[in-house]
Amino acid sequence: MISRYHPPRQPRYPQPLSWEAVTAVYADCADFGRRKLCPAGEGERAIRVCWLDGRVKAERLNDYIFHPILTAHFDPEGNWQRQLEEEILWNQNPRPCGSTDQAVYGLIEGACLIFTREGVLECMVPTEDRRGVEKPENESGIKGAKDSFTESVRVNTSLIRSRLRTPELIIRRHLVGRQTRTPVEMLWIRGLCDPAWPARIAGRLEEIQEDALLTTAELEDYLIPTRSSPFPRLFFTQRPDRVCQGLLEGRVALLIDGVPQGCILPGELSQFLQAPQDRSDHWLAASSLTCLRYLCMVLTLLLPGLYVAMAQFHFELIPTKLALSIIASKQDVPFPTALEVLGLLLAFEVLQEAGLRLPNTIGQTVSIIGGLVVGQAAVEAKIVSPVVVIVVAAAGVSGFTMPNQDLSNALRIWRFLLTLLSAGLGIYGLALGSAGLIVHLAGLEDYGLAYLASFTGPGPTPEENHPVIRRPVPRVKYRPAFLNTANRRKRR
Amino acid sequence: MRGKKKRGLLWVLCLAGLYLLLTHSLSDLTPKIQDITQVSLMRSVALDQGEEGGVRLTASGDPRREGTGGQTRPPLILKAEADSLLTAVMDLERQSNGAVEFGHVKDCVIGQEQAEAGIQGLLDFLERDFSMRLDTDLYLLREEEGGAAVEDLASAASSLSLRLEALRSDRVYGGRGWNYHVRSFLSQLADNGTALLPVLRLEENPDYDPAKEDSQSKGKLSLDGLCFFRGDRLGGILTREESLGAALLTDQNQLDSLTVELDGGTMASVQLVWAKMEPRLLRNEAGEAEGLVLSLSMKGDLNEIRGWADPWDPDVLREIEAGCCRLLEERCRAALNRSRQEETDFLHLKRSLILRYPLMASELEQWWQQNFSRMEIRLEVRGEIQRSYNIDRPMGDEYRGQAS
Repeated sequence: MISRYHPPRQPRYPQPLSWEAVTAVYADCADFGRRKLCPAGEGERAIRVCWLDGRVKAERLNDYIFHPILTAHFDPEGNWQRQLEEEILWNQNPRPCGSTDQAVYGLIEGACLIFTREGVLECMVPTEDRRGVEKPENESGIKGAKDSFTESVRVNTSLIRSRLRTPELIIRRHLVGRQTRTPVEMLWIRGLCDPAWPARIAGRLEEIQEDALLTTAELEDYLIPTRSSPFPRLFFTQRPDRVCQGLLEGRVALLIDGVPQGCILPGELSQFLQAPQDRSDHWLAASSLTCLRYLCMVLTLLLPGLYVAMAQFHFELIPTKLALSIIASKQDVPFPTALEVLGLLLAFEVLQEAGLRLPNTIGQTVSIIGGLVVGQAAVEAKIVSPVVVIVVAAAGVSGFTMPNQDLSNALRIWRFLLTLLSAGLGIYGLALGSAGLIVHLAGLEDYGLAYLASFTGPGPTPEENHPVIRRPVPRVKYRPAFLNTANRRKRR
Repeated sequence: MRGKKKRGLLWVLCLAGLYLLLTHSLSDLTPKIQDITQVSLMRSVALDQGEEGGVRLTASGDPRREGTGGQTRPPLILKAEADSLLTAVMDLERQSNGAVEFGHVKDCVIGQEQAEAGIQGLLDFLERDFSMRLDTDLYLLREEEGGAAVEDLASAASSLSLRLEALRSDRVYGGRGWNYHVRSFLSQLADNGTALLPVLRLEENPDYDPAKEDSQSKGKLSLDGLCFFRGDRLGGILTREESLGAALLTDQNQLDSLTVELDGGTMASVQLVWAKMEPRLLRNEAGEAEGLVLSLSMKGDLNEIRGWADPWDPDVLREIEAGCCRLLEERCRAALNRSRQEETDFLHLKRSLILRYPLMASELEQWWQQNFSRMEIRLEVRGEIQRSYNIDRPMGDEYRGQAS
């Protein structure tokens, strides 16, 4: 049976706005706070205020709402709501509230509602008790900025605004999630970004009718329609400077409230192989390290498969001395090479997973016991050969050089696939798998941008940046052509 | 629509896979798995004439190690005799517990008797068999059967391939790239009808102790000059002097020591570090080719002086250079004389000349056929001691030999 789409009920609370309606909505909520205020000498006319504890800052409520109301002189015959709005309240933006929906959701956002006989005022007095700006844990660098995103979307936008002091920076808010109503803010630079992208991304955000948006994957699954590929398509970063860099290239950024990461889209492969320090290091050092990362990517993908293919099918490909050494080391191992490699790859993944899930100190112990003690014991017991340990370790360590964890995970999956193909078909299987991988990557496209866009086409001109070689900044005059930016020049 | 197509393609692939599995055709399509530990890696082969005109094949690996850091055992030696080399190879594979892998064979030694009888069948096999490497080095074993070298050199510490590897590094008859492997041998035969090969001599090891049979080899193998093949048969074996000259004229000699006696009895030793031969045509006044000039340039390091001559004296250095050039000239002359005497251009001078004058290729070919045995060949040798440590010596002061 095909379930039909039921759009969310609008308005959610159809009853007219009143004190009773709002208190009825929050009747069973322990954090719902309310107070009746009787301004001096006006015993008959009272003002009612309500709020949600924890969402408002108590000092602000007391000092800028309660105190002015209780000490003010109201005109007994006058319009109290107008008086409050224009004369009494010490608040940045008191605004009249017109519906129960607005009032109810305003409370969640950190507002307090002031009920008078004339109407209802909504004043924002939100709390800002959240984690402060700290160092980025996963993308640390020696040189360059040391701040990272927090869970507060407003703090995050301020971190970006403090770097991109241009009024062309557009920040548009969307509320995603029927129940969570999570603020997702979309950022782009008008005049740089392809105008089609913000429109299409906004459309996708509007389409999300999930109950909740609590994790990045929930957003990613909606923004990237075909998710059959394990390769990352949205670039998540903890560093505001990298988001700024993405915006300046002409991409779009998303900030999600409650997620201390920014997201840049659309993504393409070369972006995921750039490390945070690449922009801070000397261009030669940065380029060399990027080349090394590409080499490591090839190694982590192909090395186990290549070893299996050579040791099981194509001995003539192995240099003679190495072949003799492999034979000597593998003489008493009872398992075939493919099983040995696949088993060890699996053990490597298990160790890695165990190390991640445990607290840091225990995690390290697990790695040492698993990697060194058990590995050494397995070699001595002739369960695995030392060459296989070296091959798997080299492939694993090469995978750790990937600056992006999502990319690293995708490579791990493909490494298994390629090893399996090599175990069945030898070097032909490896070649077939590699060709399949390239075809797969070439077929990925988001928002009109191919995943391999930076490696296809006529290639960068001498005045554009290269996906692998970072050219000195003064030599880079244009933004990448494949991003289709409205303004390609990045300097005079 | 796209999703439907994809799903359809997946179904087709699944059905094809199922068909292959059920009909056992998958194993025919996929390569055969052989774990590396179940394979005997052969490193050298020897080919000899068998009884009744057949061929005797002896193959050997390297000393076998028992695990990492374990003891070594003498190499595995397999022998087979059959009417054809292919049958001998198949017999050899049947003798081994696992598969026999010829992909790592680096050396092939041919017995003299087999070489004299002709090696056409062997060449065909080497050329056609996919598992044999075309960079396998060929050698001739003087007055012995190739199999003897394999057996006499096998011990826990040595094997034929290990010994030949050590000989190759001496580079007396081989230079920048050892140029006596199957590929070049075959191409030289096809191109010029003749080719050079290094000659090995097998002697008894004077230190051999039968009690230590496992750790010592019975035989001692050394390089003993070059030989030339005419067609697929052995044409002749060159003397040491001729071999050194041939190696020089074919740009193979890269490492040699030259000892020169100077006036007053001083002995100077020069290490030859570089030599290059360039041929050019000798023309008469009418511009017609009437002979050949071979310019040989050498560079050497002055390593040792025994006597009273002053190595800082430029005249002494010139005398040493002149002595070296005389030595090289004698060697080259000996090789040239043998080549003309045998009426075989095993020095590949025609090819060198055609490469020098590619536009005259057909004329030169014709002229060469008519004049090779009686043409005038001049030798110019130029020598330079590049590392004499005498920094006061003027540039361009080196010895330039006259054409002779």
